[in-house]
Amino acid sequence: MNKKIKATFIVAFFILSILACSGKEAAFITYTDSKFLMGTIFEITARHSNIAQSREAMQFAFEEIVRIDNLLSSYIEGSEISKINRNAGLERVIVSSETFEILRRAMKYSHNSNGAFDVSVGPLIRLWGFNHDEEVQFPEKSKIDSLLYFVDFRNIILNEKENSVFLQKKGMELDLGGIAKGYAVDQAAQILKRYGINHFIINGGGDIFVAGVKQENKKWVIGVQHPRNLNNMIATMQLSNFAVATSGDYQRFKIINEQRYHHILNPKTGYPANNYQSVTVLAPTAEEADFFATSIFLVGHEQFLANIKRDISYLVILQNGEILFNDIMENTTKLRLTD
Amino acid sequence: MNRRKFLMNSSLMLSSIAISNKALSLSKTESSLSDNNLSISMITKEVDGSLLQLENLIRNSQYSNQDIFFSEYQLLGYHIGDILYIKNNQLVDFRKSNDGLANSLQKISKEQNLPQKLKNPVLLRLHTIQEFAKPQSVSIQSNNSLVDQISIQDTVQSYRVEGKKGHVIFSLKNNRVRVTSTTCKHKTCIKMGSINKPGQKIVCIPNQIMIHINGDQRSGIDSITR
Repeated sequence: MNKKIKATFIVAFFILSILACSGKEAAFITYTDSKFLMGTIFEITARHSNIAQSREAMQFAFEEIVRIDNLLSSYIEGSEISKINRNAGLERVIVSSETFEILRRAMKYSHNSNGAFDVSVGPLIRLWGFNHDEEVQFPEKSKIDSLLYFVDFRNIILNEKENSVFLQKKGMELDLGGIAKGYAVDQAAQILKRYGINHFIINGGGDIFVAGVKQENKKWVIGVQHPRNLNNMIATMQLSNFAVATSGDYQRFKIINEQRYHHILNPKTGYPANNYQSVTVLAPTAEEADFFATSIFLVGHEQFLANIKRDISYLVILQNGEILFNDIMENTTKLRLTD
Repeated sequence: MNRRKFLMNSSLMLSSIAISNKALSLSKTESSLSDNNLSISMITKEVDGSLLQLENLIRNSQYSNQDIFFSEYQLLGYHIGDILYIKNNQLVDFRKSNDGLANSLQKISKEQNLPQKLKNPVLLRLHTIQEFAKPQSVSIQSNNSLVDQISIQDTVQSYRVEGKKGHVIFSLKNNRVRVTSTTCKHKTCIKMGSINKPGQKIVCIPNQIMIHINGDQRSGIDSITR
């Protein structure tokens, strides 16, 4: 071949190669869906270059949440937790490794919070009526006192050799509302990652896990609901690869004789705790964030952090409306208080 | 089904068109932010195939490098299956237009024999910006299905939505939505007060009802912890 023609072909080849390599990646598709599950609303937003892959992953994530509800809900008759409750004081119940491990972590959380976090609080929750769509009534003190007898995590007996759970007193009742949503969010997050979705937000009743980034490579922006002006935010934060959870006195409450009574019950007194309007925390998993938020709400942030000896990012709103947060919350999230 | 009920059920598509036409009255600022944008809505029963075709269509168009926002809603009852094409805030009659996208939509429409009456179809929506910053419409969902979509500029004294355990009644006036009555015990949906900004929603969990103001939250918040 003529040398000139050969050279032309070589140059053309290189130019075409460069052009091919400089082509931009396929644009991302942001897909959002929501479903009523576990007595609340779960919303998932996923970013990926392929709609079909996002849809499939999201479908599996929602199915996982349904599976976990069927496993752990004390309001579903066939769940393992309901079976444990039905056999309280009677006999041990052999459960799946998954349920056993969740309960083992729950016991650890109880120890770490000196009993402030306690999944045996079921009888009190049922008495007040905050869960699901029950009538909230102010109970008589004598009734609360009588039920406190059944509330003590130390009467939950776990047997590792046979994966069994035994509630020592008839009348005891487990309620995993304090961590089940967070656990479901974490498991759904694992499903999305397994199906190649690396940028997403899962919000289960306010318990959130964020992964990756949104458009223009920006971190996801999470709003913290104002505890008294429910349509506004009290703060915003920028997050990536973190979980966040909030416990508040405004989520399920009733005003009785001008006094607010809400669903976050102190397992030692039987009454709602009144230290804060709301507590927001960050953690590596939504389940842990759930536990931290509930425990801080019940015990107080200074005491809890002193006991647990871990750095936890927090934002709390006291009963008088004062807002407190620590440096790591501010620095980690570029926390911004709204006016 | 009688003709009147059929037309009422078809209002979803008609209201989408009405809402889109109102979009033409965007302010200058909003218009400039919305240049070079695309919105395709489709009511269909062939979800997987339609999505693949729409995705390929956008990928091979001038919008290929833009982020796309996608949502889908299950509809109940009878609806007119069809396609709505909005380009740069202008409603385009894709059956008469000659642009590349319109030709592709004509092909999809012919393959599925649209428009036609469909039972329990799915509404697919793809758009290149997160809707308009100005609130345009209110979506009403019950039991994980889209029940209705109405213009936020309508005035409705009392709109009853049937839910899983009972119902919720809401009012819409001066661009504000509020729940006025509910059968649920906790009344959280009433305690939420009124909403009027894009992205805001009122949820009644026991009845599995969500009332949502469509559009981009101008504050840029992606999710709310509560």
